[in-house]
Amino acid sequence: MVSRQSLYILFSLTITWSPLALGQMDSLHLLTPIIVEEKALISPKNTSNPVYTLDQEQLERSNTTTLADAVKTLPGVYLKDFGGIGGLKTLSLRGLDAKYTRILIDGIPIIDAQMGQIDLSTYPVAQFSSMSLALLEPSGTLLPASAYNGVNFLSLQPSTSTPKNGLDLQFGVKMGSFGLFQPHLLIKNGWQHHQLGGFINYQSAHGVYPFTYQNGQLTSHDTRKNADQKALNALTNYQYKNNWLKSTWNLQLQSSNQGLPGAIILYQPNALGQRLYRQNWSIQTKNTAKLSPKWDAVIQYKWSENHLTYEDPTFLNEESMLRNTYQEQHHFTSLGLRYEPDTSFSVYFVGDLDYSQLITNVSQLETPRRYYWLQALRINWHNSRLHLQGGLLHHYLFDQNKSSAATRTQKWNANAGFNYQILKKQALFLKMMYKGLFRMPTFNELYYNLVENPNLKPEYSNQLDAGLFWEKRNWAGQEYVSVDAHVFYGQTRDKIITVPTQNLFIWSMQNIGTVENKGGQVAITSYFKMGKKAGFTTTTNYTFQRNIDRTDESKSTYGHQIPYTPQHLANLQVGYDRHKWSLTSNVLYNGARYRLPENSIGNYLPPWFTQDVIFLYKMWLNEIELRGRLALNNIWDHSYEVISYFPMPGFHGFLTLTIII
Amino acid sequence: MKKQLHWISLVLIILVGNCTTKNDPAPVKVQEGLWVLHEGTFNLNNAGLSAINLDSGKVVVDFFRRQNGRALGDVANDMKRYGGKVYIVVNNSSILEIVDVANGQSQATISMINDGFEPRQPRQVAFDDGKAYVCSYDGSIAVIDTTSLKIVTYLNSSGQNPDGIAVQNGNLYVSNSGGLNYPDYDNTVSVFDLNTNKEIKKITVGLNPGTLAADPHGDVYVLCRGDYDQVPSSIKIIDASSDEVKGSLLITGSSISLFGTTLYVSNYDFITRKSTIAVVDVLTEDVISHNLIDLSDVQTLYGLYVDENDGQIFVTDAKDFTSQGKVFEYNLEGELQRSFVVGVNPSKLLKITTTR
Repeated sequence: MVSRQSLYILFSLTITWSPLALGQMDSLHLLTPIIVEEKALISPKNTSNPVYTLDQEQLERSNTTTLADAVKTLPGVYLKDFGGIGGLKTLSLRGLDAKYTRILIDGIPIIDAQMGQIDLSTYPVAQFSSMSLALLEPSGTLLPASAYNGVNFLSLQPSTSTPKNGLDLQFGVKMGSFGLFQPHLLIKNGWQHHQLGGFINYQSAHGVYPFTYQNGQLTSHDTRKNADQKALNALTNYQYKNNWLKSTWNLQLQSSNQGLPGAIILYQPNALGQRLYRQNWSIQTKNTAKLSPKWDAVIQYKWSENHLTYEDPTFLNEESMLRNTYQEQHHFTSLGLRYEPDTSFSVYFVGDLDYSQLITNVSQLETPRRYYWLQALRINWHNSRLHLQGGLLHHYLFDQNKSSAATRTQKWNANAGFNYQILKKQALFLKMMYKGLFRMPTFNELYYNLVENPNLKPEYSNQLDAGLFWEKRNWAGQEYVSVDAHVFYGQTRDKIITVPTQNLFIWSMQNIGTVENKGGQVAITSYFKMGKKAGFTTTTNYTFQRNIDRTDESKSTYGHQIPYTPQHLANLQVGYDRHKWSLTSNVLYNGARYRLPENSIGNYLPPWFTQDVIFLYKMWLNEIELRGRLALNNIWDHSYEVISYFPMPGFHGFLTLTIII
Repeated sequence: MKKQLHWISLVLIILVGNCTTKNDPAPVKVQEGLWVLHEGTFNLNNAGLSAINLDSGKVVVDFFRRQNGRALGDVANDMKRYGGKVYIVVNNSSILEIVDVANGQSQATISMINDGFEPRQPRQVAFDDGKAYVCSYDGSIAVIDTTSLKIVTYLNSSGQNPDGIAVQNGNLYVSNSGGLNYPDYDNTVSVFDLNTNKEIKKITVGLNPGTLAADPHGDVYVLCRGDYDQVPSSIKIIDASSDEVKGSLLITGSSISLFGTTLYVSNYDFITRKSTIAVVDVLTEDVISHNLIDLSDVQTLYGLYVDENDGQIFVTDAKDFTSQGKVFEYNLEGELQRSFVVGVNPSKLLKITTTR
């Protein structure tokens, strides 16, 4: 007879990518079965693609300040990091740039029509209760069509929305290097059918750190300046739920004021006063209704407005100041209907209309507007051993700009995958998936610089993945082992590349690139129990990837690895847990890469690794839980660069104190 | 046991290493030859100087780094010789690097920074009577003593973003491009009296003036690049005796250079992807040829150097602006002699002979 608790443990063993949470069994009783139900959706056992999940416990215990720190340890991830607190951090997965990753908050995508990529460092990790990275299909149900419009998906669950009855209060402060002072407050209250949550995070830092760099035989010491940041993130969440209706409302604010440290320029004082001001507002709502036992309907809406100001007070024009302002607006509506005749089969149809516009004082950009109508059809079927997933996407776009004729684009693409349990009595699964995807050009790409190219076509990417997932429990003295191994192959055609058109001052975007990507990755997870109160966990992953320029055989760069795509990526995390404390060590390795398309010695960037150590201590005073967390990062004080001439910080550390009531 | 296991595991994952020892090659012995300045790409600090031995055909790529054990800097814009020294303007690093022609070793590195520690962004250099003049985008013209290798004073142009500089009849000519005020380009050339160091005149030329060339007959040629859209590029001729524009040549050019009594107008047409060199006789002020030599081997024409005495034409190829560039050598008949692989964006060339 299996007890209820061990059933739950089994469940969580199968659904988490990293077993660090497994040591957190003390807190298991806090969780309600609803979370199990939600998390089960993203189990690697029933998806046809690699899915890597970090839940709140793991996020809490890992070395994370922002989302950027959280994702960089996941398989296949190369975080393009310009360094420090305020440095831009975007995610590149399997060599595909950030524009290919859809980021969803509570199922609704964050859309940036101007740049097409999201700076992960602008989201504090405490704002989310879980995150998962997936390749075929984002986790969650009844999502908008645009949630499926990506090669990779990063799904985030706001920490305010965890359904729970009663009052929940959390207050934390993080302090340490770079003058970081970061308090946050989380309040949740649930009663009857209602649940209300609020989250606020303030972050202030001077961002200064010393670094060394090599200039030939000279070793230079300098400090990173103009890196200060003040940021506020706030979120409120309201949810109503009864037998047939669930309605969620979200209001979000992101506001920041930061210095923009530039690249190291040799022999120059590097004390430029460039600044970035950001203010983003959004309201989103998701309403799902069970119309009948077989039919579900969903209506979603999002409004967002993003203000961005860039200032350069050293710009040598007549005003001695460059000030560019950008204001991006979105209205997003989505309607969906799901038919589920029985638990093994479902068909879901959803259509979105997204309106975006950009108002800017940059003379060549004349208020571009985009109407994007996207429809998705999703089919899911499974029996006891086989899961099938598939879908179609239909894009219809209407791009408008004052100075040129409107353009229409219409595209179809498809994806499919399966997951098959090979042996009846072994948890061994074979997974395969195929995906074709169009990435529409961003406003920046369409109307960049002086010469716009409204005839720019979307980039087209084809991705194939095949893998095996195996897990075993209570075997040879170990508690748990899982292995997730994949090979992948893909191609990106009509890749958008900037080229000079009329002269060196006028560059424009052209669909000229072809890139082939291939490789393999393996993630191994294990958990050993040592006596009653201690545990030992390891998670390790390794990715080998080749991202090769296949554009033009006559060019010197044909067959070369494209810039900033390391061939080797690895991460090893080891954790030791006691009842009240845990110690975790994380080693992250990024292989060599090149900074320009030509793979020459002059463009070579050496590999690097960093090691972080995190100590977490918990104690209870009656019903109040106190947590202290000490994170020591880059403990060997390595000097390294992810992006050429943007130095990363050496040894640094943070102390976090949290009270949970 | 548990603790031991933990420590063992920690030790296991500490990869002992970090063995990135940098072995920079030793300085080389230099002979006479061709020096090639490569601009590099913005923010990558990969500007450099290569030296080609024209007898052996050997190329020392990144010759500056070999001789000095450090990099040249970020975005090199200009290179000219005065006496026994070569002056290299490094724009984004905001320095003037002065090297000895005999061995390529740095004699001085002059920082071009204003009182607010902001880079001035130097563009080009010209010489007169023991002084070097460097114009910068911030409007200043640094006056450098070529003996002490120190900045003596600064002149200030009343125009925007000086780009080109030349000396004619003891006066200094500086083109005000206004490049950073796009779309409101400047269209003037400022004239300074070098005896009083005062700006004495501002001549209206074409839109967005760049490189200047002073000919042996008392004229100054100005390349006006236009606005790259409605206003085409042209070449204006200033008569230095009256400081008036006396003529205009309607040739499209991306750069001009004067060798002997001939002005060469190099152009790469980004639409037709053709490279051409037009030739102007500065005595008659006539266009002699629109196509000096056949440049079908050159992907993207970027720099030019002509030595009529030795019968050599050197042309640089910037390729796609991020890959390693090339230098092609032609004879005066336009026959390709040989080519050399150099650094990224080779722009300026200088033939170094110890006899001159």
